Amino acid sequence: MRASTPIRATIALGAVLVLASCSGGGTPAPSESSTAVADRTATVVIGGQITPSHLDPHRGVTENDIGMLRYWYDTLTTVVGNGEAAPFLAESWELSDDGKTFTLKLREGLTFVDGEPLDAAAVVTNFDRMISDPNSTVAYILEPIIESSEVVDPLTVQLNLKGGGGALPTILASRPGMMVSPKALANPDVLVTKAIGAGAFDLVEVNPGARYASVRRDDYWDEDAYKFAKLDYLVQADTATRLNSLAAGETTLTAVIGPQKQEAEAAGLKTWESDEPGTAFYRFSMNSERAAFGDKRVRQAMSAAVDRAAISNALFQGQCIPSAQPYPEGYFARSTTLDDSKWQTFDLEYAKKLMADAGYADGFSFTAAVPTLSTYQNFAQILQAQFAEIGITMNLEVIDTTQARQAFVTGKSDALVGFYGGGTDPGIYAMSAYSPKSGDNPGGLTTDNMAALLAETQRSIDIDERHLAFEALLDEAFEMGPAQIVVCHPVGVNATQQNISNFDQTGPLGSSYALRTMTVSK
Amino acid sequence: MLIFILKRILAAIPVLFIVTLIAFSLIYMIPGDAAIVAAGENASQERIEQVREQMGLNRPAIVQYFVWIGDLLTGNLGVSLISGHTNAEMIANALPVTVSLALIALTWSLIAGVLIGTFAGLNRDSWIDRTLTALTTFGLAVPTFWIGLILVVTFALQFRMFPATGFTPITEGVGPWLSHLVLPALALGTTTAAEIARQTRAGMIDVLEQDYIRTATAKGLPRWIVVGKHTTKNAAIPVVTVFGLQAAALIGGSVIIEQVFAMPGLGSLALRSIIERDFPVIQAFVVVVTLFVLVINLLVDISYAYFNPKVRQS
Repeated sequence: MRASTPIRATIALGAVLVLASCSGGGTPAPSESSTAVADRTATVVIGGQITPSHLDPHRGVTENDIGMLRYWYDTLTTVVGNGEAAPFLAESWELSDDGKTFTLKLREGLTFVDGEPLDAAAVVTNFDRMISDPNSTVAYILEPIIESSEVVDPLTVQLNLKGGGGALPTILASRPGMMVSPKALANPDVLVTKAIGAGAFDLVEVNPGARYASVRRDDYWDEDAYKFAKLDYLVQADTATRLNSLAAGETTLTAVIGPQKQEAEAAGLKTWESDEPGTAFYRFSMNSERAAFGDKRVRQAMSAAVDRAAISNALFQGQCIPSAQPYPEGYFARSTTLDDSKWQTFDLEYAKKLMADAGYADGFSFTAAVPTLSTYQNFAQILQAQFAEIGITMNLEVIDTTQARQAFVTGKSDALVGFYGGGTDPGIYAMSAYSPKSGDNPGGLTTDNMAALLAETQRSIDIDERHLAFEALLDEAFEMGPAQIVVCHPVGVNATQQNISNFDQTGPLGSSYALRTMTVSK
Repeated sequence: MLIFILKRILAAIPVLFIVTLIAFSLIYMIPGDAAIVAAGENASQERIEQVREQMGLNRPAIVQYFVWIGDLLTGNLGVSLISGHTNAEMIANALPVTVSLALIALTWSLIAGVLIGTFAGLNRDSWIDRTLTALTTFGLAVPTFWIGLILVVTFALQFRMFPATGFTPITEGVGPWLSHLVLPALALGTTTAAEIARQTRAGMIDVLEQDYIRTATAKGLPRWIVVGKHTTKNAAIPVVTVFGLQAAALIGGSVIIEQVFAMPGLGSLALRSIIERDFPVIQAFVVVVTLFVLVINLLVDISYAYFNPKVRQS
């Protein structure tokens, strides 16, 4: 992580959706620290694009909420470095040898913002609610894993499992790990206007979709995190407006897109660029039951026809790291043994040969759903031109983001040009992309071994064992020929006022960590 | 006059009824499924059907319509599918922003438009007239968002005279309230000012050619009385028409300007709700804006009656 001065860089809108509002996570040591004295009375104003769909983390309709919710709801675990789970509200955890129980040990003295204790009973109440509440939008993640939960002692919770406990440490760094005060859960309607969690901030004023004003809790468990007094989140939907607001001194920080990094630097602002890509990526998804996508050779030909570096340079000024794998460099789930060169290397001759072998020497045509945002349209047009090089005619149907995904998921569209927002557990993507009839795999493309390999990725909490399991899974997926072409992993870029230092974006959640560690000086 | 107003109010009822039909039909006309939106990402089909039933979307459309109308008549505008906030609360938060913006934009555009139009009309075919006409053509042609961005760069970023974004309620002081509105209102009102100026100019020229004006001038009345008393009032009728139309158009224009200036008004609320497919909010927005426009139209009709007694008699 570094404050950059040279003129370069851009990130795409999709990445901004994820990164602009992020916070939370652990408190890793900044790779470049400043000796600036923190102004603990300061107010930090974020210009962000995201409006949380719900202040109740278990009822929100999109994972994009996570970044904002982290200010008010700490998670049981967090993820750091290479994506490994790290202690947060839970100090430690253990998966039994038979994989039947998962035991969490909570940090001592935790309280919710309403003063209620965050103890084992509160955690059990939350798990019961997440699984049984008819309005829960996280039940689909937990229900296949957790059978029941029980209090062992005031600080110890035991989850009785159906299976898949190995993924829990990373899953609990996300919405299912956000604990809500049991008092609030007794009357969940209160969560429409108030966030009542165990996060560092108390949400004191809400103008839905416009402003979320918070004050830092004096009794927050991590004294070193968030070294400022107030946090004001302003929803500013337009990218140029966000930068104008920052340049006018009305906000403290915002994510920037493309040439805005240069504009920000020209305006005397600091810019910060993550050293590592996050878990999000740009992708092209195919329905293997439509067009010619059922043939592995066609899918592989299309992957080889994509010039990822050209896309990164043209759309993201090189700030999107090319990759055929869904997991970025440095992330524990990325395979270091997989030979994906025949998928990732741009090779038109090889692609044409594969097309000819598959009986499509003259190409074929299909229609892809494209979200209306300009980034996706530009991305789609480049793919369209690159596929045309091997004789494939890609027709574009530009529709709004929600509808585009719906059209694909429900099998009404041949393909989808889009973005995966990333997450804390790599298994959620794998499950969605490689399981039959799941959201990202409407054609049901899978193999006989896939279910067992997916289960293996969730068997152990040991990061090395999970790494090996994901390597085996990716071997199988690439042997099968994935129905998604991963293009590149974007790198986050933020602009701040000059009095900001220690803006550390290290880790899989990128700028998620930055606010915890950053210093606001007078 | 009272009967005239009552007639106009009664005439608005069928319009409102038709609008409620259209607003309700949005849920069927706009692509997308409210149940899928409310169920969240990665929801199973079973869960989606469960949500559909909870929301009553599996009931016959006619039943849903009358339930909705019943709620509207009792002041219940519904609840957001996404956030759970009541629509009344969200609209109540957003309305002062848009009303403030529209009010300031209309005020300056009316003053500027009438002054420019009158001046141009009185100096017909002179270089002043041609310059002002060119200026109004420019005002009509240039997109409001572009003007907004130029104003921000110049007066917020360069000279630091006004805030670049945001809104402050009038309850926190008239000064801060006004300072946040100056730039967006200037941008939003430019087209309206240009339109009013052109109509005023045309109206002035038309009236100045009338026999009674020639007679008034021939009688030896001072120029300011001829213009101020006999010309302006009669030239105002087309201006009032334009003013009414532009007032409604400003609500639409605010969608863009509120984005440029990050103002949490009705335009921002509408845009966000459309993107999120939050149908109840969209429906509530349509009904509230329709009521707003109907009230403006009523005021315009009343002003017609003031300017032209024949309207009252009819």
